Amino acid sequence: MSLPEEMEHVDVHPDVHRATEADEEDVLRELYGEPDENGIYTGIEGT
Amino acid sequence: MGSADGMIAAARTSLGMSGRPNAITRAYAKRHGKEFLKAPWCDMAVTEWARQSGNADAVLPGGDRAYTVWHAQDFQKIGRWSSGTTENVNGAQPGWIVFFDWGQTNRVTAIDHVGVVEKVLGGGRVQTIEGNTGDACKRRVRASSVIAGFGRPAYGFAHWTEEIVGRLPTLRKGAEGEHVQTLRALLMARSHPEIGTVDGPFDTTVELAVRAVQMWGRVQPDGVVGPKTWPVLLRVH
Repeated sequence: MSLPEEMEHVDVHPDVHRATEADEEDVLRELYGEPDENGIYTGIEGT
Repeated sequence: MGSADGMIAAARTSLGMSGRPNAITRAYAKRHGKEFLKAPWCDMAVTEWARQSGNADAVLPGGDRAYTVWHAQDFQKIGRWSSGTTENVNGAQPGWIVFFDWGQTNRVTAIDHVGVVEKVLGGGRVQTIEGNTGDACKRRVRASSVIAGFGRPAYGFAHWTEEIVGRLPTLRKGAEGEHVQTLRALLMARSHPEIGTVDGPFDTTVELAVRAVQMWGRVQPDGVVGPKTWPVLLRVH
């Protein structure tokens, strides 16, 4: 089975995969602390 | 019964997940075919979080979804869609499903990505959890300029409180009538005896008490009783 044709239109725009706000890192760091080794903010707010 | 908190908690468990196949695409593919194992997985993530948290009925009104446009249309069909205006972004709630179009059109047919709102930041921005952003599950900060709209899941408990609050008017200084009586009674019950009696207008004393309650409830202390302040007064926020 091949993937349905409509799925070719999911997650295609470059902005899906990058920050669209210039201060994203600052906002996330303030909320959740430092990111993990992969740069992903996995922390709990306020800790 | 599911909840918005449960939906967000499920999404948090996926933070850091990357690559494909992954646990989300495997679960989806098990039900819909192996061709989904390596497919774009943002909406598969929302589907799996909903199922894991007991929120399938609320978040997936048309059933499992991997194609974002159909998912957004599902919310439109049941009247639980809000377009991505700045006002609507500021009024969004954690647990809402956020759809992106990137071209600032707010057209549902242009949607190609989806996530869940974790926090409303104000200023026309929300903080989200999204699957398949850089082929990983990450937190993002997104503005109204890239948000096509929101699906508003009818989460269990939140559903009826939202419906009730939706029927209450916005009140400000100078207002009179039955709803002002309700407001005055609620303020008195919330430790504001200076209100005096249930009968009376929305006067300066009432406004000051409203601001105090708003500060306690961590909503904008503007002295206006609207969709964000009624839940604080009713203790269902």
